[in-house]
Amino acid sequence: MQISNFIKTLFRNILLHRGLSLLTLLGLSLGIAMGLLVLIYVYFESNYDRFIPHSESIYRLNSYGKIGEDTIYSALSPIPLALESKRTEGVRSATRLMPGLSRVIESKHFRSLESNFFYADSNFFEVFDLPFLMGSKEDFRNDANAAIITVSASQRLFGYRNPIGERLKLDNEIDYTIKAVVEDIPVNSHLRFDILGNWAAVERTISQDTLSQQRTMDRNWLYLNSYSYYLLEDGFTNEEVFARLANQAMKKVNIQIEEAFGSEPPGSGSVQLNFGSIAIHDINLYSDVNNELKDGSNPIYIKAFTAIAFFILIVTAINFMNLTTARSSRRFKEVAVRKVFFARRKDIIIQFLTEAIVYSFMALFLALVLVELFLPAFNTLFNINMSTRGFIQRPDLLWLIIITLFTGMMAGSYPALFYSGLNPISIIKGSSKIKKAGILVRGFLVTAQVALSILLISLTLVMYGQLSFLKNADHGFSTKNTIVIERGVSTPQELRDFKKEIIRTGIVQQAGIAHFSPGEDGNIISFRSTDEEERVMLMATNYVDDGFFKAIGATTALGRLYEASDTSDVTKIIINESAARMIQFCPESNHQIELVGGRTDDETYVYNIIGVVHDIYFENMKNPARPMVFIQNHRNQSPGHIIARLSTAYPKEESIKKLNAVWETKFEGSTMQHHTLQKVIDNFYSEEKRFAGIAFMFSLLAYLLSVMSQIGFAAFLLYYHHKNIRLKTIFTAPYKRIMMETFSSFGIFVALSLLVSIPLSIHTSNIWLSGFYKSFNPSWCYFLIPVVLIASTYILITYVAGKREINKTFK
Amino acid sequence: MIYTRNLKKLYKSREVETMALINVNIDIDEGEFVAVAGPAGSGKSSLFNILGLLDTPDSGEVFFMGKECSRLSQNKRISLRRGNIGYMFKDFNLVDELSVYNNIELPLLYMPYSRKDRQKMVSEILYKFKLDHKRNNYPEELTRLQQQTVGLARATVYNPKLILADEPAGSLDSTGGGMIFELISSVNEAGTTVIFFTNSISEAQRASRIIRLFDGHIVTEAIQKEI
Repeated sequence: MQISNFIKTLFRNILLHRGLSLLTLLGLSLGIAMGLLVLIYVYFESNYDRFIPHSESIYRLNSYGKIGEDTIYSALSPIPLALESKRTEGVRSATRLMPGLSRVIESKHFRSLESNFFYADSNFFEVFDLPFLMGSKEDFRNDANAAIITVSASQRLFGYRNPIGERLKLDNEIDYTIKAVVEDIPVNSHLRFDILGNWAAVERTISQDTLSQQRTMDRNWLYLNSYSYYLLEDGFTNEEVFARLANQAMKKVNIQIEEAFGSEPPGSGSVQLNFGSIAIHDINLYSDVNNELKDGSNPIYIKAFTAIAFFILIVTAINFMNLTTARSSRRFKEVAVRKVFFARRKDIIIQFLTEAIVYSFMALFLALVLVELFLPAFNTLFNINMSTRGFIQRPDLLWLIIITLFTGMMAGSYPALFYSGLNPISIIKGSSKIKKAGILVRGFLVTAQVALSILLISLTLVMYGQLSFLKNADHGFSTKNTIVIERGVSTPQELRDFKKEIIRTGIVQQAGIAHFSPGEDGNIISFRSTDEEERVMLMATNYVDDGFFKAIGATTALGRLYEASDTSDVTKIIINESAARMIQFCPESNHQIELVGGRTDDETYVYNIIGVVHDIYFENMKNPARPMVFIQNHRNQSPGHIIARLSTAYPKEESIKKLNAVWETKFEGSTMQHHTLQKVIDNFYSEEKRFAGIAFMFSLLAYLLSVMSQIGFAAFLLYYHHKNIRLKTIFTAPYKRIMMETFSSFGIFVALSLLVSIPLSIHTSNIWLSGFYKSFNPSWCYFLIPVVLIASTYILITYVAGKREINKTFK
Repeated sequence: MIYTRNLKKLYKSREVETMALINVNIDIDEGEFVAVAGPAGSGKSSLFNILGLLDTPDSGEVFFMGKECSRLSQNKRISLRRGNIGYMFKDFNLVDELSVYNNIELPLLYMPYSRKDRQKMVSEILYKFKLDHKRNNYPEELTRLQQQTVGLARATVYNPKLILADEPAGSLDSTGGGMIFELISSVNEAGTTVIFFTNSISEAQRASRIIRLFDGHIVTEAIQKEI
C-alpha cells in the first residue's frame, strides 16, 4: 500500500529534478552494466564443459614426473593408460583423444592443411555424448575408417554439400570416410577439434608396418601423447576409482622405468612418472599442467574479476548515495511531513530502500541495453566469443535480480539511515542543518574514488608503456621484413624446392627452414650431458637448416652457425645461451650432449656443440628464454615453416605478391599462408594487451564514476554553504574568493587522494612489472598524467558548479 | 483531552541556554477551541511540539487522553498520536511531489486502512472542503488558501480527536485567513478539539479561550465567548 505512494513520489521527484536524476540513473546503469559484463565473463569461464552430458563424472588423467632436474606437468598421458582405466572397477568407459598435428587432408573437392585434426578412440562418444546432426556415435564406433566432422568445418571444406560418405586421405597414408556431423564445440569447452579420425585405422596401419618404431606405442608407458578420459560408474567416487587406477598403472610404469633406466631405483631416482586426475569442469581454471588443448584461465583472474565486479557495484552504490543525498533539502520537508503524520523510522527506511531498488531496476533495464552494446567490444577485449546466441539471451534471472537487489539495498542504505534519522521538528522550523560529519563521510568517499581512478589510469598507462617496450625489445630475432611461410599443403621436398626457388628469384634475401617458428612450442626432449656428472636435462628442440639463423637474424655468442657443408654431419648442434648456462657449457672442452628417452629405440644420438647463439625468444619475455637446441634438419623431420627475409629491392606487399605467385604455380589451387614476425611478437603479448584493455575500460569507468562523485560532492557543498554564498554575493565578495572558500574542503579531499594514490600506483605498477623477465622503468609522466587529469576535472567541476550557483543567487 | 503540569523546556546551544517554557500548566477539555497567543520567542512552537507529542519536555508532565506521555519513547508517542492528533502548519508543509489526493492520503498510509477505505475517506474530505476538482493537481498549482485547505483536509481526514494548528493563517491574506478559520471552526463544531497558535490578537479572538504566552510563561488565560 505504501509502496505505490513511494514510487509515485520517486517518479515525481525524477521528473522535477531531471538533470540530477538522469546523472544518478546513468551512473547506476553504467555500474550495473560493467558489473554484469564482468560477472557474465566469470560465469562463462566457470562453466566450461557443462554442456557435455554427465560432465560432472568425466575426468582426465594428467602426467606428473621428473627427469633429472626437470619436471613434467602434462595433460598428455601414455597411450596404455586409458586401456588400463577401462579395466578399473568403477569406470564405465575410458577413451583417448590424440592430436593429429597439422595434417594435409585431401578429398576430391579440396586439399587442405588441417590444424584441428584429432584421432579418437571409437568409443569417444560414449564418454563425450555430443549432439550429432547427421549420423550417430554408432557409425563412428563400428567403422575403423570413420571420421566425423563439425558443422562449421563441413561448411568450410564442403560448402553446402552433404559431407556424409566423403572420403578423406590423410597425408597420403590413411583413408577415412566421413560418417557423421556433430555440432560445433562451444567456445567454453576445453575440447577442440574440426575432424576426428578413428584411432583404430592408425592402429591397423601401424600393425601392418613391421619396421615402424611406433608399433610398440600401445605398450609404451613413457611416451606421453594422448589425452585420456574416463567416465565414472554411478555410485563410485573419483577418489576411490582413481586410487585403484593409479595403483595399477604405477606398477607397469615402474617396471618400464627400470627397464629403460636400469640403475635408477623406480619411484625415487631422477626418473619418475605419476598420474593425477582432474574433472573436466576444472580444466579451464584449475589445470596445473602443460600441453592443454586450449589455454585455460587463471582462477586468480576470476577471483580478481569477481572482486572488481563487486567493487564496481559498491562504488556505483556510493555514487548513488552521494548524488541522492547531495541536495537533500528537497527531501527534508517530505520526510518531516511523513514523520509528523505518523511514519516511524522503519517506514522511512523502507521508503528509501524501495526507491533505491526501483532505481536499480530501472538502471538494470538500461544496463541490459548497455551490455548488448558493449558485448562485441568486451569479446574483443577478453578475446572470447560470448555470443548473444549463448547464455546472454537466457540470463540467469535470479542472478540479475540478486545483483540488482544487492546494488539497490547498498545504494539505498545510507539515504535510508540519513533521512530516517532526521528530526522533523527542526526541519519544519527550518533550523535543520547537516552535520560536519556529513562532509567528512562524503569527502572520504570522494577521496577513495578519485584515488582509485588515479591508480587505475596510471596502471593502464604503465601497462601500455610495458607493451610498447616489449614490442620493441630485442627478442633475439629480426622482425624487419621477415615473414614466416606456413608449410601448407606442400611435402617436405616441395617446401625445400620452394625455398630454393624464392632465393633464386631474388624475392627474398635469406630463407631458412625450421620445424618450429617463434610463437610455437618446440618439442621438449631429454638430453644427457656427457660430462662426468651425467645430468639429464629437458630442452626445447628445433630442427633447422643452414639458412635459418641468417634469415631470422640470430647472432652468435660463441662458436659458429651452420654452414651448407655441415649437412652431411648430423652430429653438429647449436644451442642458445640459456641452454649453455644449463649445461654449463665450456667452449674450451669438447662438450657433448646425448639424446635420451624412448624416441629412437635402437639408436643413440650424441651431439657436438659447434656454436652458441644469443637467446631467441620463441615465447614471450615474461620468462627467460627457454634452453633450446637447434638440430640440423635431416630428411626424417617434417619441416614446418620457411622463415624468409624479404629483399629490400621491392616493397613488402609486392614481394609477398610475387611469393604468392610462385606458390600458386607450384601448388595449384592453394594460397600461401604467411605471417610476419612482428605479428608473432604482437601475439606474445596478446594476453597483456587484453588486460591492458580491461584496465583501460575499468579506468575509464572509475574516472567517470569519480567525476560523478565529484559533481555530487560539489552540489552538496554548494547546498551546505548556500546561505554563506548568498550573503557573500550580496556583500560583493569576489567570485573567486567565494568559490575558494566554498570548495576548500573539496580541494583537501582531492589532494589527499593524490597523496594516497601516487605511492600506491607506483607500488602496484612495480608488482605488475615484476611479472616480466624484462621490463621498462616508468618515468614520472606515467603517474603525473592522471594527477593532471583529475586536477583539471576538479577545477572544471568547481568552476562550472560555482558559476551556476552564483548566477542562481543573483536571479 | 490534554493537560500539562509544570512543563519546562530548555534549549542549549554551544554557549547560550534559553528557557523556552517555564512551569506551563494547561488544561484543555474535549471539544474546546483554544488559541495560544504570544509574540515570536514566547514558546509557542515548543508548546506546539510538546502538545502534539512531537517532542518531550525537560521536566513536568503531559497527559493526553488520560495517559502521561512526557517520558514515552518516540514509537510509543507515534502510536498514541496516530489517528488522534491532526497537524496544520503556517507554511502548509505539503509534499510537492504528491498530488492533492496523495497529500491527503499520506497519513492514512501509516494507519491500518485498506485501499478502498482510504479512497472513500479521501473522497469524502475532498468533497467536504470543495477540493474535488483539484484532486490531481500538485501543490504548486494551487492558491495559498487552497494549499492550506488541503493542509486542513490532511489533518482531519482520519477524524482526529485533537487538531493542533501552528499559525494556520500566517501565510494567508486576511480574506484567506478568515476563510481558513471558518473551516477550522466548522471542524471544531463537529466535535474536534482545536488548539491553534498565533501571534495575532485578532486571530486569537476567534477562539473560545485564549492562553497568552510570554517568555515561556503563561501570563493570562481568558474565556472569550461561547461559539
